[in-house]
Amino acid sequence: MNDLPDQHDELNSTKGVAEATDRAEGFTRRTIIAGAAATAAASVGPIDIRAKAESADPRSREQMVLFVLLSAALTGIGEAKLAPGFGFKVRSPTDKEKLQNLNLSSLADLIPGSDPVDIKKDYFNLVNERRPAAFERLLRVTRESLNPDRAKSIIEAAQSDTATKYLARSIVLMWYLGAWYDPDDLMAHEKASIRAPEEASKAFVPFEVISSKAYTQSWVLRVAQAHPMGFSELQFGYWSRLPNPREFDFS
Amino acid sequence: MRGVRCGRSFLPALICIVCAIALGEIYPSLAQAPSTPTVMVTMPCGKNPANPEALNGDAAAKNALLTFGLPCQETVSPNGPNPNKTSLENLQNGFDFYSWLTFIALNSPQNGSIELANSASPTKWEDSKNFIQLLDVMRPDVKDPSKEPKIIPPGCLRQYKDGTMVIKMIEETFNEPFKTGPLIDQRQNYALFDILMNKQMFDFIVKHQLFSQEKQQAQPDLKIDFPAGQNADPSELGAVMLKVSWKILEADEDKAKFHTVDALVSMPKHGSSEPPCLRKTLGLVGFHIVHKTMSRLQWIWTSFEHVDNVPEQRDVDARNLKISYNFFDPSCSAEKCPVNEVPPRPWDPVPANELKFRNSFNSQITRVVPLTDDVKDMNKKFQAILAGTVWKNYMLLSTQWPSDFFCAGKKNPPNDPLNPNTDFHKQPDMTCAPAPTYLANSTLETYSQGTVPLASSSCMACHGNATSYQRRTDSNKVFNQSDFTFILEKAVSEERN
Repeated sequence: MNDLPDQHDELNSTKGVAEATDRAEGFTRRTIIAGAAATAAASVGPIDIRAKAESADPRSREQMVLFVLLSAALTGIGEAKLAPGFGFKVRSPTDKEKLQNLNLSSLADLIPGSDPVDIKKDYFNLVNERRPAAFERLLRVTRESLNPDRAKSIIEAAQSDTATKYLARSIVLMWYLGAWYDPDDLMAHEKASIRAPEEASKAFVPFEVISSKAYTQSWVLRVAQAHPMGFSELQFGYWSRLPNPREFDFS
Repeated sequence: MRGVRCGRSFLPALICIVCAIALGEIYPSLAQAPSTPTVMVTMPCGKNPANPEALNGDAAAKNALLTFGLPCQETVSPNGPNPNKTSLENLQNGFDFYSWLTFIALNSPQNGSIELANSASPTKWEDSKNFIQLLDVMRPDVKDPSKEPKIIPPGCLRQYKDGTMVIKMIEETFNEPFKTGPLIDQRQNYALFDILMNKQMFDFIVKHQLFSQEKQQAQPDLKIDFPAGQNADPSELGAVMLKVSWKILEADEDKAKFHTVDALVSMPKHGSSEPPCLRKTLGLVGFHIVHKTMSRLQWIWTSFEHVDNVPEQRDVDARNLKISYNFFDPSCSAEKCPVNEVPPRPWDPVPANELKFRNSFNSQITRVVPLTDDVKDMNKKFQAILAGTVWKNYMLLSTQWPSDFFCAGKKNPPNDPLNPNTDFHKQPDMTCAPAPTYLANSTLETYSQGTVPLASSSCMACHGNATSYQRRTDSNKVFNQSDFTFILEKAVSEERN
């Protein structure tokens, strides 16, 4: 958390309740009985009772698939790039078109990936631990947005709710930077930017590097056709070539 | 065929190796064999007839596995054989099954089933019609190696008979990748290494004259793209490389436990006298198979070992040890025999010692990354159906394959120019997510075992850095990738002739 002013204003609004729910330690974990949580929540402030027993299930194939679909929509990087091996259980030459036109009935035909690094699992667990209710809502939004314009639908739906809006930004930053930026900090920073842009541009937004694995898997330098310091899987001689956007397809 | 994960700092080592070849250190003197050129043949292949469940089948199903032959291409599925396993586990299982089929096919005797083989039966890969040794391809003395008889060092001519395996004791025969050191067995003998390729790979090299440094340099726009195997075409096995490791078997050692060859080892030249040629019985202790397929253009990397090579480190910690190993002494304490240490320098052989290391050192090697339970289970099943043959004494370590399906089969259009000066239209990391991330054979990547990024052995991550002698003539002076093989760096300069 940072110390920028008024950072909790929006948490007390209707749109901020899920954020508050996530923050209410112990009240929103799926292990808590909903009724008991509701009673407890009533004593500490505005809680989205509907959301508090909700979180994602890391063992669920469908939820992991939805997380990859969500991540691809938010980052603009293809599902199979974020999660190598992501695709249909039975491969066919038309998979790319099928994936583009995914609908609810074909969701069961997808597998969330088969790579040994499996960074998606680490990210899923982290987000689910930090913001279970908002995360569950983002997955639900993804599920409800399986149409030919999936990415646009997901982004618009995520933007319509403060909790999901800033969590979505955290997820984007997580994939690109391998670091966790708390949604509250992102929200506070944005508010400060509106109020005092020059001052806010110099403000530090706190973050934590998620793990050494996340550091090596971050996408920002891959997109730039560079590599993180101390870790490179680029080919020998890569330094002698200019980056060439045409050649590298991230979709 | 180095399995070590190479950083850029290994370039000087590679250049040194290549320079050593160019300067003639490995070709002290040469002679032609008293034979006609060997005409290589295309080994037949087919689509995997069954999935790993066939291992649980009846005798007929098992017999089919032993006689199937070479898979043209992997046949794998994320959905099975066990729906309760993850897609990664199922795919790995499929690749491991493919690896065992390939191992059996290559190690079957030149005529008949592997069940009929004894320990000294020559295998299919030892038949020079099927596989040719690297040093018989990269030759400084000929214009077309396909039209020349096998090269035999003069010192070996007297003992040579047609078909005898000849191993030339160059540095790469005893020193592990990137000069990390030799491996010394419990009798203080060097382990020996050799590299071979099949007809598809050989033909591509001959067609483009890639055995010559100058010819490589003269073709800066040639895409190095070896043929890939495909199930759709049973005549197309695709390129296959082998790297093998041998243990010298002394008279009192149990040869029945190993697949053996009676080989001639041509020693390095020292001084003005002809280098000696030693007749030795060699036992197979390590076996890499690397196969390029249409769906895995990063090749599929298979590694087998003899079961008595080394213990797993956790077995050492638990003192759960066999009586003896090829490269580990169970009676020596950790204090006295620290594990996985390289021998003291200097490493090169001393003529007077023949193939014995120069002092009483013997390697104390353990396996750092244990085999998975799944691969152990598959090994047990294959070893059971190989009971009664020497091949029950070999085990699969793992199979490394590119797990990013879309990336792995992606190829640039045939008429697309080499632009931007790289071979394929890939994402920046063209290894396409290798699975497992690390893989090392205790005899071939002994000193680079582990799970440290950029330091521990990963077949694809290392070989993705391989380059040729091609040099662009335009303003972008870059290195051309050589399709995951360091073999082209062994090309010889014509200036030597």
